[in-house]
Amino acid sequence: MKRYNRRPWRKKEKKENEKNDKKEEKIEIPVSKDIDVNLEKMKEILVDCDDIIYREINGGEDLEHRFAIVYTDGLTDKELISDYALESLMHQSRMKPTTDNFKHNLYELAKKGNVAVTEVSEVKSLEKAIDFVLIGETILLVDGFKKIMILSSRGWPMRGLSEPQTETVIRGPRDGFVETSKINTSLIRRRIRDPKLKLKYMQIGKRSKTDVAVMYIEDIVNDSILKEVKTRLKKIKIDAILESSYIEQLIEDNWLSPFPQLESTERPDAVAAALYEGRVALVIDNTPFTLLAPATFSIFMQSSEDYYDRWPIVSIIRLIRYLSLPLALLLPSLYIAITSYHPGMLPTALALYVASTRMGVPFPAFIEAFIMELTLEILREAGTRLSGPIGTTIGIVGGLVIGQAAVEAGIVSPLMVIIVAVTTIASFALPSNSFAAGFRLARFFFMLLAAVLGLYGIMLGLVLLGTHLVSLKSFGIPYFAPYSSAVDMASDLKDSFIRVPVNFMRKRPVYMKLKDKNRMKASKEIYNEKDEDNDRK
Amino acid sequence: MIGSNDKITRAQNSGMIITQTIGVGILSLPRLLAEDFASDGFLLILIGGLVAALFLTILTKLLEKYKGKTVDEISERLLGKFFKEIILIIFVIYYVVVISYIVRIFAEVVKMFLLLNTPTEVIIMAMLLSITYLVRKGIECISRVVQIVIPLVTIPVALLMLTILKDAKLDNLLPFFQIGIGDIIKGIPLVLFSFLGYELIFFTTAFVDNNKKMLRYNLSAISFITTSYILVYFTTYVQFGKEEVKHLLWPTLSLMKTVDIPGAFLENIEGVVMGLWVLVVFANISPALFNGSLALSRITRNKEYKQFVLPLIPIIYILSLMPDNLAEVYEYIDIFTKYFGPSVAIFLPVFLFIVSLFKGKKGEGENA
Repeated sequence: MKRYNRRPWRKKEKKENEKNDKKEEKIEIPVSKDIDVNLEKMKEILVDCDDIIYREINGGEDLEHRFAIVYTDGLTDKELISDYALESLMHQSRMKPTTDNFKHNLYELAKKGNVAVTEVSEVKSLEKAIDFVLIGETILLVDGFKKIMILSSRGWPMRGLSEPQTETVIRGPRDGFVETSKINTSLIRRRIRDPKLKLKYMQIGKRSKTDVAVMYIEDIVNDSILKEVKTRLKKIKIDAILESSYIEQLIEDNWLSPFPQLESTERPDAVAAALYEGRVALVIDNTPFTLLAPATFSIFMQSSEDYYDRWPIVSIIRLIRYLSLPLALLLPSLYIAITSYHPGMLPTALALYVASTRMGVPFPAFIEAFIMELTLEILREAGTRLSGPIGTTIGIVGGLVIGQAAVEAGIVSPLMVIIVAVTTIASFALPSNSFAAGFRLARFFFMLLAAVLGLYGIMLGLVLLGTHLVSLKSFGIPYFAPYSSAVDMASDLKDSFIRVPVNFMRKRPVYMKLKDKNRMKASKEIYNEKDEDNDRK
Repeated sequence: MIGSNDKITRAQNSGMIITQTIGVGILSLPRLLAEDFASDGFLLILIGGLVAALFLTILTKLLEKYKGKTVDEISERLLGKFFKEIILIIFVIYYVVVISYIVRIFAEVVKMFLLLNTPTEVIIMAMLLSITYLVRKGIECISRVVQIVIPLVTIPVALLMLTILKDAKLDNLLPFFQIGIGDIIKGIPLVLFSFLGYELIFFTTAFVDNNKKMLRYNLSAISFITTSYILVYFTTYVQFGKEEVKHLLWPTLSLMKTVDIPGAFLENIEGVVMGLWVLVVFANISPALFNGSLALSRITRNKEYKQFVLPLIPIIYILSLMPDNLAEVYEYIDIFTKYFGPSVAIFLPVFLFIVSLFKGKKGEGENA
């Protein structure tokens, strides 16, 4: 990957990491035959971890067989373990007399006959066993055997499925992701009942050992994208992943850009739709936000509800979004440029009005706009962290300060207030918050350019911003596809600034270079098949 | 393939032909034509387009023969190392001069319509620095910008033209066919200069991912250019009439001044058009600057062109500021295009094509 070359210090780190990895492999402790030795060693490693529970039990007719279970308190389904593992080991095993054969096969017999847990596996090193304990599994040690049995018993209190707060829809499914990745993957699997939907687990983070599930539909996905995602994930060397944005920042193409290069969503239906378009999903444990790669400009301008509404309405809404993008980006700078450089561009009546409202204002247009934009950003920041009644207060105070007081005091012109309000509302009309944030940042640069070079400066700024956007790539896919080569990707324009009816979108996105290019068969075939289906019924 | 930054598509390639050709020529084209040919200018544009298409066909055929090769590699194979160096030097000079001339006219236009009091130096410098950023991003980015700029500019301008046509005086067109065949033949070189610019594919075609049926794309670019020239000339001529067009410095921009959209929020639309035109000029200069720095990197036997972009900037800056006024700019450029333009865009492709016909089989034999 090219971008790592720009960070020469990475090489050193890599070497160090490799050394560390080797060391760790060496220390691995094998399971001993003696159960006491094992327990002692485990206690040694897990010293001062009071949430680890050790339970030693005896089974057999004369309590001659020794077992022990170890689990983490709070991460384990206790009922499951006591009812289906402990009871059968302690109680049922006493009913039969002991034979030599029995003793030798104790481990196998317990595994096959006594432990009534659905998922059972085994490990031969203590360290790995401890890893499983920390995930929430229960481990079963049997005296006299060099193996440890892992009983799947994960179960912890979690938030119920609720509607995602950031991406609400009027029509569409109401379930959103939760903080447990297994639940999230199951929500996706429910929408794609296809054996070709693949799920590969990886553990990232040396200490946090966060589960990352790479999901894709095998016969649609573009292999080079998938390979790139996997190699970039493997290259991550970090101690902890707390949220999906850690991974996002570590695997994105351009870390200098203010624009997101991976999509994050809380909606399982959005993930399923993305998988059907051949994208790769990264479901990350401990966060409801799932990452989707690659992501392009046009994807950030879409909302999942776009596909649930009727197409003429959606097309108009999309056009409104594409209109609000330049508004959010350019309106203040256009105000600066026109009032200070090109007042002649306005009709006479409007020009006179603008001049009259600006009469008492003691600042140049740039300062005026800058003050207002800054105030609004501060207000927004203050409002995001507060919730409920305090948040409303901020809104009221802010609205009063900006709307009434500032104008009445003659610090800003009323037109400026309108412009700031429209700008902010327009920036909220963009579906993706992190995407809109990039443009919010760019807005200040445009104001500066407009103050120095007027409309010409704005155009220069647009060229620079355009160059940046066009040069961005998300996992090898041009960020500005399909617009950047519209002639070759004409069919992708059907789902861009407009959305054509579903039955016209027969092809999956061309710019993704997928294996399975067609979403739908030709219309004739569809109608024929429909008839057949009806006949059968 | 991920991370590669040197593949463009055929459509992007011909998109660059469009912006490279239209550029600043379109501003003064109606004046040049109206002076000598009046309403027969259409005919001349059409003929000019056909002639340009002919040369472009020759050039495309030549480039199709040598896939993934730029002009210097082709000429080295056909004529040897010495010629290669000469051709590269010619191209560097050609592009540097062309860019400085475009930049100067651009700055003058911006100064006249947008920034009356800003010094020309500032306008030029700001433009050159932004263009450096774009060019250093690579051919892929340049071609994508071009591809976005074309519809972004064409659609609004076409709509604006429609509003002009509502009070057009069609009588201005009459009388037709006032010029003889001799005049037409004399006029062809004049028109042909407006079609220069396609020679940029000498370099860019090497980066096209699939060069089959390239001719179709390139010819549609030429027909796009011809159509837009004819439309612009038609609207200008219909709006102003022969006598007025003759005396306007940039008739196309003056045309935009007359736009009056009923009920519009903006009165003087030429500011908006100027803004769009800034984009066109960017799309025009960036491939040229790319080619210039690529040629320079080839002369110095360097694989990377990026470090040669910035050194060209001061040269362009000084060259563009050399003429004292616009009249002088147009004087210099007349001399320059008369000798340099055709030699690069017409004689070189034809010459190389003919040589390749003789040496072609031999060359392929060596290849195999």
